[in-house]
Amino acid sequence: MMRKEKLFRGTASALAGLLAVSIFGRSIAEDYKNYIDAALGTVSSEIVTSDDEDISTADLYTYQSQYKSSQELVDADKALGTKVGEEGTVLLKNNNGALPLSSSDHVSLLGNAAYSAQLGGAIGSAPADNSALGYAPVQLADALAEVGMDINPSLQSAFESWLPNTAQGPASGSYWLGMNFAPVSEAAAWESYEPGLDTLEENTADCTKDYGTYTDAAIVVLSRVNAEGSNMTPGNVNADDFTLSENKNPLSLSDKEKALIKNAKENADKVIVLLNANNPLELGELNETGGEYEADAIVWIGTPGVWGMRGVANVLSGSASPSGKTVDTFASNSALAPAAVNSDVYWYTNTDEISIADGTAYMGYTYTDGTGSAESLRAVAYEVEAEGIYTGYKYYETRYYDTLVSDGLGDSEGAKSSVGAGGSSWNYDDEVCYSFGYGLSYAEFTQTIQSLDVDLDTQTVTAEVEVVRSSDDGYAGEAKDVVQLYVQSPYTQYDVENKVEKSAIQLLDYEKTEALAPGESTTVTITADMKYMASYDYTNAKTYILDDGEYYFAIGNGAHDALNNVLAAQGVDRVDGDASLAETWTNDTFDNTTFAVSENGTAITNQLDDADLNYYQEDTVTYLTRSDWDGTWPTEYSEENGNQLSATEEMIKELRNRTYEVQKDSSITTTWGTDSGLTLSSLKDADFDDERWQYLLEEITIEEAIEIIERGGGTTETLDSIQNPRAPQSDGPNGFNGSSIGQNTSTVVAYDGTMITIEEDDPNRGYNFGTMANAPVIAATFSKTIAEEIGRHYGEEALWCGNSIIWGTCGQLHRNAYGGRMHEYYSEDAMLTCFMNQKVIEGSREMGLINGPKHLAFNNTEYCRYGLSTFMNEQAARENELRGFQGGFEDGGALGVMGGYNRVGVTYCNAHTGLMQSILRGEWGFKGILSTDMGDHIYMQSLAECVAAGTTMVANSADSYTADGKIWAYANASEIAGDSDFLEILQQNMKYQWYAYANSNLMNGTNENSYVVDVMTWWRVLFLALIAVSAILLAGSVAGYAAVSFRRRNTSGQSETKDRK
Amino acid sequence: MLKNKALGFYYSCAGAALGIAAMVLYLFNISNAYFADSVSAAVVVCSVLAALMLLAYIALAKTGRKKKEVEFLRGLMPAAATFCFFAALMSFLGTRVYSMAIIYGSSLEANNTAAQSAMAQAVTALVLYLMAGIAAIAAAYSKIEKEE
Repeated sequence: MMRKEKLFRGTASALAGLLAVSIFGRSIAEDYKNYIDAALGTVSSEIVTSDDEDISTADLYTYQSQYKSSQELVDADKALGTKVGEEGTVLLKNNNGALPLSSSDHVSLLGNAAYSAQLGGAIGSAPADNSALGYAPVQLADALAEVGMDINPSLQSAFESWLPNTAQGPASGSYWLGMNFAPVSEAAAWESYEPGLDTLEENTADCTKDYGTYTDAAIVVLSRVNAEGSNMTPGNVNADDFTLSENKNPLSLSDKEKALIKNAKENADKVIVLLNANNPLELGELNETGGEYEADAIVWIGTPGVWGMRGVANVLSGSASPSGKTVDTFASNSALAPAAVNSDVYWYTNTDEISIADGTAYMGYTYTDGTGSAESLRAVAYEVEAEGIYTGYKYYETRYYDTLVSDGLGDSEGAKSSVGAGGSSWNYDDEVCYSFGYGLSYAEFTQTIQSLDVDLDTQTVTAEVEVVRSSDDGYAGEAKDVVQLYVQSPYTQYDVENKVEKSAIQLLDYEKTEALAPGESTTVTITADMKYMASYDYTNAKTYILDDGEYYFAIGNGAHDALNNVLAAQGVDRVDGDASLAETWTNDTFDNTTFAVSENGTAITNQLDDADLNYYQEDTVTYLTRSDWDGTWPTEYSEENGNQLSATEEMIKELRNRTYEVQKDSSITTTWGTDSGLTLSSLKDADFDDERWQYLLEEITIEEAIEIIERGGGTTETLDSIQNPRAPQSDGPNGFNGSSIGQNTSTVVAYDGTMITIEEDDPNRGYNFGTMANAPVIAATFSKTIAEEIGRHYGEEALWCGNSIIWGTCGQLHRNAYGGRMHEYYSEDAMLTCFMNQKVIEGSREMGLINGPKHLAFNNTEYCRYGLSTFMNEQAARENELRGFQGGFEDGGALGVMGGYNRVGVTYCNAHTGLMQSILRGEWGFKGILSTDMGDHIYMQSLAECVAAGTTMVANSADSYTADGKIWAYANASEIAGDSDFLEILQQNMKYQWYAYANSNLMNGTNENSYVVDVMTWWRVLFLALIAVSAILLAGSVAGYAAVSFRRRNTSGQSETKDRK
Repeated sequence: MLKNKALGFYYSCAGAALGIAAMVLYLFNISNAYFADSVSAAVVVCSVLAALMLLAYIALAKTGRKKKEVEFLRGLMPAAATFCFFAALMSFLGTRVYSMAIIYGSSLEANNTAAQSAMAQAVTALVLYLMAGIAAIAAAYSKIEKEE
């Protein structure tokens, strides 16, 4: 009896445990159903559309695929990836026609990356591995073998057996194997993993035995890794903080890399160096004539994606001519640039004052358990961009110009001084290896300006440039060329007096030619928008100005070449320029009105005063000016220099993230929770001004609106009120990274109306789309056509994986050469970034995909990026990074954007009304989804402030924080019911959100009769069954236990009675 | 005094101790700067209730022998404690699934030692809850006192 009692008791306990796991597990599963669906291939909700005999199914699909099978799509993916790799390859040096090689050459490949290159980022935009489906990523050795070259087998074998020794990342990240340096973080130091021939020989005997046969060329591949959340550290700034086994500068060549090059020179007829790195390496030693590391050819390939190496091989073998151009300046020592001065991480001295003590009520919330600490508020670090506008070539070329021209307002003596120089004085040729926009071709082209017209009425500059391909350049294949139009604006006394800085040369626009055969020619017409040559005067006019004076427009092979042409036109005879390649235009009167209004008629004025540290602490920052290079050279705001920043009281208020006071007693002007019978599908493809929007918005309840904004990460869920289809998001920008064919949809409609079903056994089901080259390679193509094609291709990916949003392009710039996330941003130049971003967005929109650029704005440092205070002046903000974003909104019509983790000044990006409401939504007319970066920084990503600034989604996917006692409790419907301002903006934000979705592929297959139903997936059935079974068995066990227990007691009672008797 | 104690006594004590240890670790974990969560009442209440029920399971052993109703209710306590421990475990897990996926399932926080140690602490707490639940089940299958 006793044994049975224990058995029932124990079984009841086990079943109680199972019941708890089932009940709470089900709840967790429902919270993460989109992830579960993605992993298991299930669909937990679907759209049901009532039959309408007048409309065919295909007609319900506004966005249709141009492919009729998954195989066609995969083939297109490979072809586009190859093309981008090909056109994004930049030939930097080609002595004595070292390239192209012959496809029958016998070549030796040296370096880890020759066999396991960085094809994408190590973290963020990592390359997809579809090996399981038979689509293994293509490495250089594979690609060269495919074009017919013979690869040194003993070296290949030796390197491939060495590669496991370099493993640093997660086991699944095979691409980490090829990296030569690990990214900087608190946990990892820079370390070179290149083996060197000695180590290689120790590891693999006879690894050099085939050298004698494979002597046509040696290709040495140098690689650097990029990763989200990390930065490289400049060579001479705080290098001692990090352990580096060989050199302290991650951009220079390590000793082992140099040893490989030396060895290659000793064993091959020519040495080709490939740069598998997005950060511009320092290449002086490779260019030193007669030097022991001199390379015959240098080719930049960046991180070319899963298929891009095929394009690289096409260029190396000569079946394609290189047509890419550099996206960054290759400096001799990047640490000497002014933007490198403040590139470490600096902490406020008074983080204790920023912190809110445990138990303290602040803005209605009592912080406990360290949640109010400066760390938790993400309010500890800052960065001062004292270089102003002088980043990238704007610095190098402007300083170069000022060293040559002494009769202007530029500080010629200061320009030549030793400040920021590698030697005792600054000399361009010593400081720069390759300029921005530079690249060689196997073919020879001549460009001539046919005409150039400036029209202030239409605000355009139209240049017609004839491009002629030589008939006897020795290259038989077709080749493309790039026409780059630059402008030099006058640097005037007004500018000096009002702190308006001018780059001596600036890219205005560009176009790539079609492929030209020997002897062919074409005329390229560039119509540039003059708004991009206006300067922002943040101190006096407080808007864009066009100075009076002489403007020079020039074409050239890069910024330096174009500037030399301007100099030649100005009569400076010490440069290698061609005056005929520059044209002039005179603006007679100073103009502070034409560009003071945006394209949608919004007045443009200062919105970012508080991004300037001087706003809070007068005269703290001296911004670099070309009128005094020496005297205004940036200072590092650091403890070592004794000028580490302390946050003032006013700054602390912002750093604590809570500034919005919820009103309690205003009269309500908005309506919520009505039933007008409309669903989101009713407004499919509707205009923003459609009056039905108001009826739809009024159907949404306050609770629903809060829920949509609060839990905007991962997926936008269905609201009962408007029956919107679920909208999963995906990250990019190298395609739908982590999303795959058939993931969230099983049907696609092709261009001819054919309904295609993605079968369970489709051989390409699960093909992951993160295959595209990284942003710098895309930008290096200098091809707007390719950018648009990529945007359209992402749109196709969206149709085949069933997603509507991708964070798949970027407007950020490469502020300096040390960014850990350079692989996700196009370039150091605003205009190249602007057009690439815009064209990718345009292509995506054509396919109904919401492609949101990231990270608006100034997320210039990855390490310690959370809540980093970023200080700059408004001219630098608008003419550099914001210009990189601008075209995507004003001209590209973007319907989504992601904010940065950082702060604009001391205000969290998504809560900065000047940036998000006045510039983004006001000046640029953005009417779409504004998301934060990934959530879980709830004490910084403060809901009310974000909503007030126009944020439509806080990318939090985890817990809800609006319940009583939580940080966003004020956003509870009952709490905000008395705040008419908040409710108005909440409803407005809802309109932006739903307008974007209504005009996207999310509406595919819907009409006004569509509604959303939950689907009983097998995992839902499993949970319910587990709950039911465990509950029934538990009840049975308890009953059994009761029966046995009471029977035993009764029996025992009877025995006792008997005994007494 | 302990001479008379059977395995169930030790399992119950262990379960209660493990549950309280898990809860303390949980409280440390939510106040960790990386997570900085507010306290979940479900986790704390379930942990405390479960521990109390296991202690009551021991304490009422003698009384239970005299009153069958008390003994019946006492016999259900390990089951209730198990339910509570697993409820606490799953509630806590629910708040960490997302971070767990990022920290262990991606490389995003690969070099973030704060994230790694915070998650290791969370996993330790979850394992302690699991052990507490198993101890409660084991206690249910065992006697508290040898002569029981």
